[in-house]
Amino acid sequence: MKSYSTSIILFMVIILVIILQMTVFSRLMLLHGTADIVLLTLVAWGLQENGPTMWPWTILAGSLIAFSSALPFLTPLPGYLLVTGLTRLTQRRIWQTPLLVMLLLTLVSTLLFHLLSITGLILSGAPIQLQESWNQVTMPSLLMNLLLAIPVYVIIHGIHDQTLPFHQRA
Amino acid sequence: MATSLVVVGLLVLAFGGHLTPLFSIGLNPFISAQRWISTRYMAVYDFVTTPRDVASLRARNFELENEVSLLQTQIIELQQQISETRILYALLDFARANPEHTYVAASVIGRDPSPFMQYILIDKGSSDGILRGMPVVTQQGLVGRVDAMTANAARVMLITDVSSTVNIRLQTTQTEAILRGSQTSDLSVENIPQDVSVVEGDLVLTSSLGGTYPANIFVGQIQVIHKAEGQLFQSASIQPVVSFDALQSVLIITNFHPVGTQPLIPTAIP
Repeated sequence: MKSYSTSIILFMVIILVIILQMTVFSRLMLLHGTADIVLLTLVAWGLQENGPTMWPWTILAGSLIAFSSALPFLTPLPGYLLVTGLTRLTQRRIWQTPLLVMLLLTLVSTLLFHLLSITGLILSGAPIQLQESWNQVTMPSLLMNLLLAIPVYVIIHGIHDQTLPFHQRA
Repeated sequence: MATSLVVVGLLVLAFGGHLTPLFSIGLNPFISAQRWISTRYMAVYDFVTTPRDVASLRARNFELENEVSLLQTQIIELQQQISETRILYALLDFARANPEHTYVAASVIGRDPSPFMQYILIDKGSSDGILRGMPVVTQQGLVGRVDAMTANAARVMLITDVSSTVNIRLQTTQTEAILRGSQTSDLSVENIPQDVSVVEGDLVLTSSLGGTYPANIFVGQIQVIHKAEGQLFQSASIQPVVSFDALQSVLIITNFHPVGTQPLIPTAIP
């Protein structure tokens, strides 16, 4: 019963987050960078103690983003899978300081995801300037992701807490 | 009989005003007592009824606040509708001024989730007759072209995208050149021959070269010219006429089919 309710909530959260990403957060620009709340949500949920396995939800989010975005089709899905893999790896080792880990993972995940995006674009023939990408897109995006990391973690932690049985809640 | 006469006599004296001092003396204690009782009664009445009034006032205030909120919401909705109507009127004016094309109006419902890509999402798709490659404009000028679509939505590549190239023409010199987008959404015109005299403020229009866009759609104005000795071509930065960050509604030109979108059907050789 618990897994069903968690799955339904996760599904709704991911759909809502993707819609918000495309309608709101993609328009909030710092220089030419934007926050990636899909990435932040996957990282935040992956860090929850007793959290569900995030692989199927990562595939769902990655596929939907790949379908919506003009990025080379195979870029977002491996990017988000890499992020989830990294989160899972970290969550097993460092679990006492989730906020610190959230910030650290946001930093690493954003850089990895952007690196993968740039690689995909270069391979598809887009004339990408690396320094311009770093200065105008990646760094501002990283800053915005770091600013939103803690609020997203707190919200996801609250939602995750509600899906747990009463005696397991924080 | 005697009593009746006394009463009548007293009444006559009273009506005549001869008993007023006597009444005053007699009634004053009663009036004072009544005033005292009345004052206390009113105090008690106020004490009992005032909290009820506060409660009813609070309830009324709550109702009015709700009503104000509702009206404010309606005002915001109406202002939004007015804004949308103005945009649609402007688009309609553009469509009337350019009757050679047929248009489908669409609202912008989102942007590409990746900051590397300059794409927008619109709420019209293949069920509205939208096809890949159709040009997208606003009343101001060129926006881009349809890149992909579903039945009820489409993705439009803006001319500011890093992969976008548009064949353009400088209006004053009728020179053909290429407009390129960039990661920073800056537009630049490249491949302008060195011997062409380009001036700041020159208008940039689409050319029909290449068959990707119809001719004579306004793109922007020349802002800065980059001319260096020893280079084959000069280039220029341009100021686009369309504000790409604030796009709300666009028009898709549906009667323009770019070259290459129609499949080539082999015909049998007789």
